[in-house]
Amino acid sequence: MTSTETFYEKLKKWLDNFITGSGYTNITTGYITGELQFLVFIIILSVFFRLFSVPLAIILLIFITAFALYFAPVIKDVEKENMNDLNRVLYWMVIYFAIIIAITLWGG
Amino acid sequence: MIESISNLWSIPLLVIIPMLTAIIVNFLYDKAIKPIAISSAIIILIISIISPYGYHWFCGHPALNPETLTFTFNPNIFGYKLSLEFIFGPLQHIMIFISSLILLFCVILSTIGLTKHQGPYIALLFLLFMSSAIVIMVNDLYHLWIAVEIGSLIVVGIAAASGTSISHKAALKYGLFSAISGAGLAVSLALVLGLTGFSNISDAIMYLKQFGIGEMSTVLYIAFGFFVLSWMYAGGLAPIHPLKSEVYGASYPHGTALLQAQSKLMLVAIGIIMLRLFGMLPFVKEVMIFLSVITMMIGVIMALIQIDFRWIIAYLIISHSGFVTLGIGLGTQEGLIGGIFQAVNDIIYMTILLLCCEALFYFGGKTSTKEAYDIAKKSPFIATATILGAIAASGIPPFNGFQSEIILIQACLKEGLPEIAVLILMVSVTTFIALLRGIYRIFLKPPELQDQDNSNVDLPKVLIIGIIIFIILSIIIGIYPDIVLRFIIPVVKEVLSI
Amino acid sequence: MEELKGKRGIIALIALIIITIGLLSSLEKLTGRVNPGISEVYNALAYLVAPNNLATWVYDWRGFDTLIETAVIYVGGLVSALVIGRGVVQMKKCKQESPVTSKPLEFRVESLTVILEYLGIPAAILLISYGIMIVTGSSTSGGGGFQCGVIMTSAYLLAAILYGKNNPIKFGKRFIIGIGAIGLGGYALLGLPGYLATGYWQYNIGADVWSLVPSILHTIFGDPFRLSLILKEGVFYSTPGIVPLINIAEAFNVIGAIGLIYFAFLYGWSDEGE
Repeated sequence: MTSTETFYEKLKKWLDNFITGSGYTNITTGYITGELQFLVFIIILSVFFRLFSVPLAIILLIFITAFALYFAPVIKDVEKENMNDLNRVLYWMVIYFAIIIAITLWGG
Repeated sequence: MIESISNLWSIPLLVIIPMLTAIIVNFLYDKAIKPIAISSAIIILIISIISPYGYHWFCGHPALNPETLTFTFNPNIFGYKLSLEFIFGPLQHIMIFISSLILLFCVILSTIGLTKHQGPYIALLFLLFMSSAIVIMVNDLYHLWIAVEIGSLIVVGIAAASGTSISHKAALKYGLFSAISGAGLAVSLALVLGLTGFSNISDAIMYLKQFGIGEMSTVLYIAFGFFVLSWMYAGGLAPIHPLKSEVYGASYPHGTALLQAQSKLMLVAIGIIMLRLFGMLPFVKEVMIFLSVITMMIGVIMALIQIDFRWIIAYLIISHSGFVTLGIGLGTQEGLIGGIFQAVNDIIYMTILLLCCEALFYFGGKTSTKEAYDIAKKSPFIATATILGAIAASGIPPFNGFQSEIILIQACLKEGLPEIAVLILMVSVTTFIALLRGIYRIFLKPPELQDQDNSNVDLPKVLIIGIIIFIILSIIIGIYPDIVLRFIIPVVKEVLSI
Repeated sequence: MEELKGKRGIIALIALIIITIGLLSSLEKLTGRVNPGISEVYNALAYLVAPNNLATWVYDWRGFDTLIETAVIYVGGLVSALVIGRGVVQMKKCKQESPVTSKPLEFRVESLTVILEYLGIPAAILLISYGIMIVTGSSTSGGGGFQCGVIMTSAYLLAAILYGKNNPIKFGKRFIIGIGAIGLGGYALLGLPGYLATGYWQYNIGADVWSLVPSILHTIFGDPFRLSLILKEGVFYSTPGIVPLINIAEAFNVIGAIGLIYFAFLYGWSDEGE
C-alpha cells in the first residue's frame, strides 16, 4: 500500500518538474517526449564506445543510464544550455572548438 | 561531364543579374518594384534551367602550365589558374534551379503580402540568392570567404527586416557571431594559402597531393578547425544552432524558405571543400560526423519543446541540416549521395511547411500552439498541405524525404555504424511527433472560445500554386529519385576520385 | 556574464589556452616557410596592367573578388539603414508589434567654439579635395576607391557633427542612395564590355594583356588612361584600361554606403519628405 503510494507520489513529483508557470498539457507532452528522446540519445551515444572496447561500452551504458535516470528530468537543463543567450553560445562554441583542435592535433 | 569552356556565358549572369536587380529595387524603394523584381527572378530561373555546363574564369586570365611554362585558356589542360574560377556543373544546376524557384515565389509573395517600402527587403532576397549561388559555384578559397561574409550580413538584414524586437535581437546576435566565424575562416584560408600558395581550391589540393605535407600537418589541422567554425556558423550546426534557429523563426516564413536553402547550399559547398582539402587527414571525418549527430539530436529535441509552430520548423531545419552534414562527413559514395540528396529534399519539404506557415499570416498570424485556431475548417487545403509536408519531412514514402534518408541509413550500415542509422530513424519519427503537435493545435483542434471571427480569408493564388508545385516536386522525386540523383552521382564520383 | 563565472569560466579558459597553443604552434611551423605559389606569376605580370602592383592585384587579377567585397560594404549600408527603419516591412493582413525605430541624435551646435566654427568648413573642403586627389591617382599609387570613399565620408561626418543638420555638405537621402547605386552598379557593369567582347566577365579590354580583343576596342578603353613611364632605359607606354574607372565607381559606392550609415544613425529614418 505504502509502496504504491510513494511510487505514485514520485511519479507525480517527476511530472510536476516539467511544469513551470502555467502548465499547458501540450507543452508537458513535448517535454516528456524530449526527455525520453534525450535519454535514448545518450544511451545510443554510449554504445558508440564499442568501437574502442565492448566491456567499456557496457559499463558506460549502465552508468550513463543510471545517471540519467537519477538526475531526471534533464530536459530542463538541456533547454537551458540551448538558450539563445550570447555568452552561453560563445562558451559552448569555445568548448567545441577546443575539443576539435585537441582531437585533431593530438589525437592523430 | 563538364565541357571544356572557360568562359561559360551563364555564370556571370547568375551573379550580376541579382546584384543589379538588388541595386535598382533598393534605389526605387517603393515604386515599380514588382515588375522589375518578378521579371528578373524569372530570367534567373530560365538561365538556371537552360545553362550548359562549364567554367568561367573571371577577368579572363589564363592558367599557367608549370611544366611547359605556357599559358592556356583550355580548362582540360592542367595549369595553375590566374583567374577566379567558378564552376557550373550538375550539382550547381540542380541546387541553383531549386533556389531560384524559391526566389521567384519569395519575391512574388513579398510583393503581394507586405506593406510598401519593400525595396530594401527584396534587394536582400536577391542578394541572398546571389550569395548562395556564389558559394555553390566558387572554386576559390578567398572568394568563398567573401561569399560567406556577405551571406551572413544578408541573413542579418532579412531577419531584421520585420522590425520587431525579437527579430532585431536575433539579427544582432547572429551578426555578432559573424565576426568570429568570418575571422576564423580568414585565419584558416591564410594558413592554407601560406602552406600551398594557391587560392584556387583545385590547385591547392593538387599541390598538397604532389608535394605532400609531411610535418606541416599541424598547420592543416588548425586550418581545418577554423574551417569547421565557419561551417557550423553558416549552416547553423551545434553549438550555434540557438542563434540560427532564432533567425529562422524571427524572419518571415517566405524569407526563411530562402534562408534555409542558402544555409543548406553553404553546408554542401563548404562540406565538400572540407572533404576535398582535409579528407586525407585522420579524425577529420569523425569530427564532422560528431557535429552532425549532436546537431540532429539537439535540433529535434529542441523542436519538441517549442510552443510556436514557426520555432518548431526552425529547429527542425537545424536538425535536418545534421542529415546533410552526416552524409558528407561519412565521406563514402553512398554517404555523399545521401547527404547532397537530403539537402535538395530538405529544401523542398521545408519550403512546403514554410509556405503553409506563411498562409497562417493571412489568418491573423497566430502560430503559437498555446491556443487552438481550427484553421482546418477555414482552409482545408492548407491543413492538408501542412500534413503532407510533415509526412514528407518525416521520411514517409512516397515523398522525397524517404529516398534520401534510406540512402543515408544504408550508408551508415555499410560503414559499420548501425547506431547512427538508429538515430536517423529516431530523428525522422520525432520530426513527425514535433510537427503533429503543432498541426493538431493549430489546424485540427476546435477552439475553446466560440466567438472567433469566421470571415473568409482569401489566400493569394501564388501561395497556393507554390505549395502545390513543391508538393508535386516532392512526390515526383519520391517516386523517381533518379531525376535528382543523375545530377548528384557524377559530382560525387568526381569528388571522391581526387 | 553570470555564465562565465566559477567552474565554467575555468573550463572556458582551458579551452582558450588549447586553441591558442594550437594556433601559435601552427604559425610557428609556418614561419619562414610561406609558399609564394601563384603570387610570383602575378607579380611578374603585374606591370603589364598598371604601374602599381597593388592596383593590378586588387582591380585586375582579383577584380571580380573586389566587386563582391565592395558589395559587402553596400550591403552593410543597406542593412544598417534597415535596422534604423529604412524599408522595414510588415505583413498587410495581420497586426504585428510596431517596428523598432531609433530617434535622431540631438545636436547642440550652439556650444561650438569660434575656432571650430571657422576651421570646420576649410577642413571639410580640404578632406574632399584630398579624397578626389587619391581616387584620380589610384592607378599609379597604392590608393584607390576605398580610401577616397572613407575620406570623403569623414568630411561629411565632420561637417554634420560641427554644424548639425543644416551643414554645408547637405546630402539628401535619395542622393546618398543614388550615389551608392551608381557606384556598385557602375562597377558591376564595367565588366560588361569585356564580357561582350571576349566572353570573360570583367576582362580588362583597355589593357588587353592576352590580346583577345580587336585593336579598336583596345584603343577606345585604353587610350584615355595611357601613361608614359620615362625611365633610364627609355620611354615606355602602358595603360591600366578600366582600372581607374573601377576605382571611381568604387569610391562612389563607398561614399554611398558609409554616407547612408552616417545619415541613418545621425538623423534616424522617416519615410516622409524628399
